[in-house]
Amino acid sequence: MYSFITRKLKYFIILLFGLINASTAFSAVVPQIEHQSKESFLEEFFGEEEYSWNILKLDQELKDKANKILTHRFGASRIRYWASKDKTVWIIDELGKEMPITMAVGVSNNTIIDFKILVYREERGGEVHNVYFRKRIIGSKLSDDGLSKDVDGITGATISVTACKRVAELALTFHEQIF
Amino acid sequence: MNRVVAVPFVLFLLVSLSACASYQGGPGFIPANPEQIAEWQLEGDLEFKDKNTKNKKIYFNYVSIGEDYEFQIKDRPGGETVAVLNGVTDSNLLPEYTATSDSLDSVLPIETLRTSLPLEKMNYWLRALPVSGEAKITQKKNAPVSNIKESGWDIHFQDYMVLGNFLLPDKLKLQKDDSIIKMNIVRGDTGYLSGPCPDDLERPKQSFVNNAREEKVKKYSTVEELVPSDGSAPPPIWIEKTGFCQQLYKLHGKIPDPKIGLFGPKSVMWKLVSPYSVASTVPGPALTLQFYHPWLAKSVYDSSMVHDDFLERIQRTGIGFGAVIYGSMPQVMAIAHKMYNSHSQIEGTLNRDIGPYKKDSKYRATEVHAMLWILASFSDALVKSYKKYEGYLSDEEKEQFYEETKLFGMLMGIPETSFPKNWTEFVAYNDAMRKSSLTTYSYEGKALSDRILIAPNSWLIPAWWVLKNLTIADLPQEVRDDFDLEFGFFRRLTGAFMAGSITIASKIFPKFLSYNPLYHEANARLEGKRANWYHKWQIKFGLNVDGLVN
Repeated sequence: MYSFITRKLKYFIILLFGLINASTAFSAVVPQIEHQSKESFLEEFFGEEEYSWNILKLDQELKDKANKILTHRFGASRIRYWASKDKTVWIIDELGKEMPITMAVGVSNNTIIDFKILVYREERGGEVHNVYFRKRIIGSKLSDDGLSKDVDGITGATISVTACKRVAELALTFHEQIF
Repeated sequence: MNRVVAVPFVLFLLVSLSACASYQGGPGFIPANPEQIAEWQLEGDLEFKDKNTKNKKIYFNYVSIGEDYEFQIKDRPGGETVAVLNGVTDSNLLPEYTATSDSLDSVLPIETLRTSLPLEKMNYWLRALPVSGEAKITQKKNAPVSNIKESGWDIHFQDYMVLGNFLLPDKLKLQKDDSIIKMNIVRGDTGYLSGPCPDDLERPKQSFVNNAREEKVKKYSTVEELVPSDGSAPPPIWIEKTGFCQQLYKLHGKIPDPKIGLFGPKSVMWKLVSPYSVASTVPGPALTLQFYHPWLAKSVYDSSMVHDDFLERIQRTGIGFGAVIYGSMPQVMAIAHKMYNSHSQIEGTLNRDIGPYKKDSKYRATEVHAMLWILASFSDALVKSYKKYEGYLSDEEKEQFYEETKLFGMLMGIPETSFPKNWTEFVAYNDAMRKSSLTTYSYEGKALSDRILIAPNSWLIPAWWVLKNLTIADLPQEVRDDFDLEFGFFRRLTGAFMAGSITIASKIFPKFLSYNPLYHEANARLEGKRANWYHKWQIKFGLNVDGLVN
């Protein structure tokens, strides 16, 4: 009886192992890349400074501004941000081709001083994470035409570049409301 | 160890290691910010307890559009609405209410609900967000929020579920003084509640949506218009964003119950697609026929990740078709936008003459005739596969299926005027296309058809061998010849044997096993329940998502 149970158990373990492994048959790479976590970005950006989160409520005027910048409706009626004495961080999702791109924008003195792609979920266009591109956005202020700096596009990443520019402009617009 | 066990074990280990080698892993799901969901709804049950009320349970649907909310109370999971409480988020006013039945009074008086539930704050709490800057949030590093203390309430988030691109709580406990509220969220939608194109800053006017003049002039296309007998290509009709949204608005108005979706359990579409025998054998011939269209082949070949990650491309296609067929209207609209956004990026110039398409002419994926061919190849493969494995389809069913196919087409942005008149004409169009020079061999088409017939990894070699035999057997002779797909005696024999086995298996096994898991997940949605673990596991296994249409 004991050997019978042991034998059955062996088959069961093999079967279980098989099922677990079979699960890998259809597993594919989900094109989601987390370049940096929100927490890590905040720690890096604020360093030793004290910071806390707060909420910016969007009145109709601000909503209209946001819609105009994004060229589509901004989903939120308010947005959380993180702030120290003179700096703010805005973590905003903007649609790329199919999926939202999560971006973090650090602003001080109405100027973008840090810009990162936290999560990139698209198949293509991930070059916007590269330093050379982010440097084109860092240092930007608000101007009549949007951003003060010319941000050149990247071949094959046009939609992602546009999304980054819009979010950068939106973060500067929100920052203006705080300071 | 006994040799009987040892030999298969070692063999199994070797195969498993090869599977591990083909496993590519991934970082998993990384949720988007729930604060930016403009409109959403959650469905579940709520248990309420205070000093006067003992554990009373109700079923609800919480709908949020902007700052407005509506708390619909249901008579049972997924049932009829018996009362509605509505108001504005974070307002000091009690919600307004309407009751359509007094059945609620015996469970929980609506006045109790109105005064005791913090509905005006749930708009944020149900997304694990604080209402104001006063809230105290407990959250471990890189983990979802576990607790919010705000306005005297202590909210524990006990579990989370993936919903669209978001991670939302599915088990909450809210406590204030003597009041305890336990909430179980079963399912939800994260967009497209108020309309099919909610991101549009300007909504189309009624005249734009119902273009009566256009419909009066022309109601359908003839086969001659779609497939000119002189061998030329019909002039391209591009599907622009406005035209695409126009079709979605028309669809949105045609569907009586958004929860049922585009088709529903009484549709012929569900009848045809749901058996595994059909769902698993349709993609092969349908895709190969698509690649028989040089534009489509070029589009996929040049733009798709099919070369880098073939399996994921297949899964994405499966997710798209599955969500359109079985999803609720919000899910259908979400996937329609995703597909349009993706397809609208695909364009280029032909580098040589292919059939009637000239060198240097433009091609785009969002072109009416190309989209119509995708639809035609899918519908044709579907009906043939159903007849082969499942049985008879009456003329009425075929006609109804065609009407449903048109809904599918409208979702892709195809105007109604571009469809053939009826099923018979649609079949005639299909035949004419296959025999015309509009569909022909191209090296891109050949490369893609070869690619889809090769197993993506070692685990799938046996399954792919079966599918390859069945696919080749189901293709029209001219496609087999052009793509050089050998269909000799051995393949005919094995194809016939496999087809017979599939038919028998489909007849023997109950729906629980013989119908695809999305069918079961969609039915669970309609019953206000979650899909069971087995079907959820199948969805994860096959499509690599935690759930699709619940």
